[in-house]
Amino acid sequence: MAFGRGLVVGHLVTLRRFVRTFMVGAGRTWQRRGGGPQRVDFFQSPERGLEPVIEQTDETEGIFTVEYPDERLKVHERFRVLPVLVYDDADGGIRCTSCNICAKVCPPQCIWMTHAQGPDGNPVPVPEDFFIDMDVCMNCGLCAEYCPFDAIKMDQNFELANYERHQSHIFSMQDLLVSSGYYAETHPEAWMSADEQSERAKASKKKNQRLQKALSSSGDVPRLD
Amino acid sequence: MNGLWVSIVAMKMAALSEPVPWVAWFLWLFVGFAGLFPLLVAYIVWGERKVAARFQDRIGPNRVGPFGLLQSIADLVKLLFKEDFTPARADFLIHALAPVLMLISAMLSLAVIPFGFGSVSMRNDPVTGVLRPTLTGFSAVDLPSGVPYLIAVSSIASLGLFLAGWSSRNKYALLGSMRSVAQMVSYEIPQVLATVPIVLWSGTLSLTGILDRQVETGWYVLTPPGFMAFVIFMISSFAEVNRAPFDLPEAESELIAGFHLEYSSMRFGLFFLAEYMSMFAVCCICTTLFLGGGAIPFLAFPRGLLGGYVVVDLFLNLITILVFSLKVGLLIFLFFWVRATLPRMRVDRLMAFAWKLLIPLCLVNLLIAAIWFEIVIRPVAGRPDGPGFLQWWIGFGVTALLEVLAFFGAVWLYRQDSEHSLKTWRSSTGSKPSIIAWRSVPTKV
Amino acid sequence: MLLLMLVSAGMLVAGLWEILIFREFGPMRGVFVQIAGAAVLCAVGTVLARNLIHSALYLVAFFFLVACLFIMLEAEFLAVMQVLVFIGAVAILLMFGIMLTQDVQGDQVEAHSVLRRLPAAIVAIGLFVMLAVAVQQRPDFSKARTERAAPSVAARERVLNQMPQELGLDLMQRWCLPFELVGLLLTASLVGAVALAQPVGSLSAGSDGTPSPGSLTETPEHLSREVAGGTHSSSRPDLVSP
Ligand code: SF4
Ligand code: SF4
Repeated sequence: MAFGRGLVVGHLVTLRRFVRTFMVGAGRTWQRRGGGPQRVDFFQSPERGLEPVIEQTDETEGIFTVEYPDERLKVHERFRVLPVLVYDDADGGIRCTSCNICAKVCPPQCIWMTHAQGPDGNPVPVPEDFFIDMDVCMNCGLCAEYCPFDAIKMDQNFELANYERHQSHIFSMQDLLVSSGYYAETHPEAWMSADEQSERAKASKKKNQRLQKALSSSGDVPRLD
Repeated sequence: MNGLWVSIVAMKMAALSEPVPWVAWFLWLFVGFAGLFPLLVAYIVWGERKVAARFQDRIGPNRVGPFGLLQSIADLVKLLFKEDFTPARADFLIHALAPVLMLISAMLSLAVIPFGFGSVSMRNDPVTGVLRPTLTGFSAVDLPSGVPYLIAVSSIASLGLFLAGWSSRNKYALLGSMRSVAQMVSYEIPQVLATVPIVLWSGTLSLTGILDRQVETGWYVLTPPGFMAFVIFMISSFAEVNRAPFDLPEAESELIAGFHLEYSSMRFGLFFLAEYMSMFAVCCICTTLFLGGGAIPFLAFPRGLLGGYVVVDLFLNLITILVFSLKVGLLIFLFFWVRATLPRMRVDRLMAFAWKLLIPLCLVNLLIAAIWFEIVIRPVAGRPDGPGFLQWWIGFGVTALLEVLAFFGAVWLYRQDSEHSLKTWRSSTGSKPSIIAWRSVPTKV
Repeated sequence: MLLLMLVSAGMLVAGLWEILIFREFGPMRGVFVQIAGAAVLCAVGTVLARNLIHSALYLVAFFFLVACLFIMLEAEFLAVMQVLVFIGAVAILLMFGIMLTQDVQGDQVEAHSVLRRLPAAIVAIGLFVMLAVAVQQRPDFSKARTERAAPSVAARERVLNQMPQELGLDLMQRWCLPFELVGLLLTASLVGAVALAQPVGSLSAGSDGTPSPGSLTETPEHLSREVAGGTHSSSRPDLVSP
């Protein structure tokens, strides 16, 4: 029979937590770590893109709060939000061949595209335009998984809020295109993997051939450099 | 409205105590009760949010103003601009009256608290009847029957709470107010009984008199019966102001919000204000009754200097008010701390705790307090040097021993009782206690 | 709203009455007449209100006004006790009592017949007559206030500052017998309440010193019988004995 021992111990445990938040980790200051927008906050907001990045592990102690717009959590490579279309920095060419596979596998059917046509009216293996309804996309990543040309990839930009959704939330090709350099930066591990390297080589070769063929059949000589 | 009531009652009270200039009244009313106390309460709310956040490894409000200091003001503005909604079938007048009643109750109890030492005047000693210099106390009114006054005005709160629940025509609100009335009526008894030793030792019901007595003989919390009374008083105060772990009247998880479920806008704000103000008031009362008000630990220091020059008096009052605020702040922190630690009690245990543990303990404590009175206080009544060293320690030893025995005995009996009812339960149902029986019920019948 | 209107109307009437009848206007007397008038109106409201809770609230207002009268008489201790006992305890218990009835909102009151009101009226009038006679029995009742023997300043101050003490001594010495009688009455009602609250049959069972199982036993047995009868759906699983 304990005469209120648990009561005392419990209070000591919580008090210890309370005191420790002032002694360890991020809570050692009363000030706003991320800064703030007003002058009276003593801090100015950091420039957009220059916010401090907080990394938390299972060893992190004390306060866990991340003051979001002014500081961010580290975004890890496998984190995915919306798909983007990758173009190669080397030649500026879009990797996508407009094969429609991604549109077929997309579970909520939020991808659609129009095929580009050569001068003679024959189809050319590039999309003329490419749309993703970002309100419908459920960020599953199947499109990126299925694309045979590594043309569509999952991006990590999660700040997608907008004042209007009917126009601006249907991303067209202009909104979707990112450079392969950007992709290499956000997904360094995937970019350097042997798998993707060889795939890259193969794909560009194949695409070149197809493009050559399509263009030569229409009598035009392509300029590739 | 509150100001009016406070002023009416206070004016009447004033006619009884010393003649106070109207300026002082004006200042108390408009600077104190209409200005400073609500502001203070707003910052207690801010403090609670900050402290509770730290207890939970969070930061708390920090976006509005430096350290989030303007958060309370922002909340106030938000509350003021929200829609003031009254349910269609609610009893409109009573619905409007209830939060005001609660606020009045909290404000009225602040009227008699001696925040500082005030000045010194010659008065009759309550125990010996000899004329001697006594503190007048820096309070709005120095009521000769301050302690019953406090109990009386705090009982108005339960009326307001009940009316809030009843007038909303909502079953959750009604349940909340039923619980609250039962709880407040039960916990009022240990709360009042815990103040009886103080009255016994001081020989006066006036809070200023009690403060004066403590400055002379040492804080009451430092004596064993006084400590026990302090603990009991604090526990029942938690229940009186509906704070966790006794926050059953509002129990968010079971009653949505209890009695103030149907309130919105500033009327909800009034409840909020009343809750925190009564918490503040209870801490002030506790400081005055047990922690020696604005007295500096183990010193009768500023007392001898008072009553000379006005400037000195003002300065010393400032110091004592600061010390007082510090003690009140610590007690308020205790409220936050307990809230961050303990889960809400079950309603039957809540009742059993008051009636079967606290009240018997209070009664035994009263007897022990009488023993302390006989050993330490009565023999030296009227002697200027107070109780001797030896006498004090004999009293301390005897009463401490008795207190420990009483505490363990009371808790043991309380446990016996709950075990007994468990056993009765078992023998009467022929089964294990309910939770196990529930597990062993076949799923398909 | 009704309450507010009544109170203000009462104040108005009382003020007019004051000016017309007394033709003297001391500030304290004016306050007294207003408070007393409002108190009478509240008392009438208590009797006439259709809703039980409203009735109880009028009663609370009445108690409060009586406390105000005590304050006017400089008996602040009595005023405080009035608020403490009557508003803090009696009124709350009253409302609690209403809550324990079927009529929780308190608005299903049917008008009582004259026959049922009659005893109450008789008791009330009797009490009033008794009090009036008692007050008139005071030796200096007919004298004006200024002609009465004024208590000495010291005695007055002592009584005002030490009212609980003086009151206690008075109760234990001069009024000892009535005080004890009232105590007996309260004890009797307390015992009666305990007896009423006991579950049926447990008073005799508990008389041999062993604590009776109490009311806990009844529900489970009742429910397990129900289970045996096959009406399982109505019982709580945690009350069932397997
Ligand atoms: S993104 Fe990939 S799968 Fe989709 S159309 Fe282009 S090449 Fe085909
Ligand atoms: S991520 Fe999933 S839902 Fe979104 S576009 Fe790709 S396949 Fe469709």
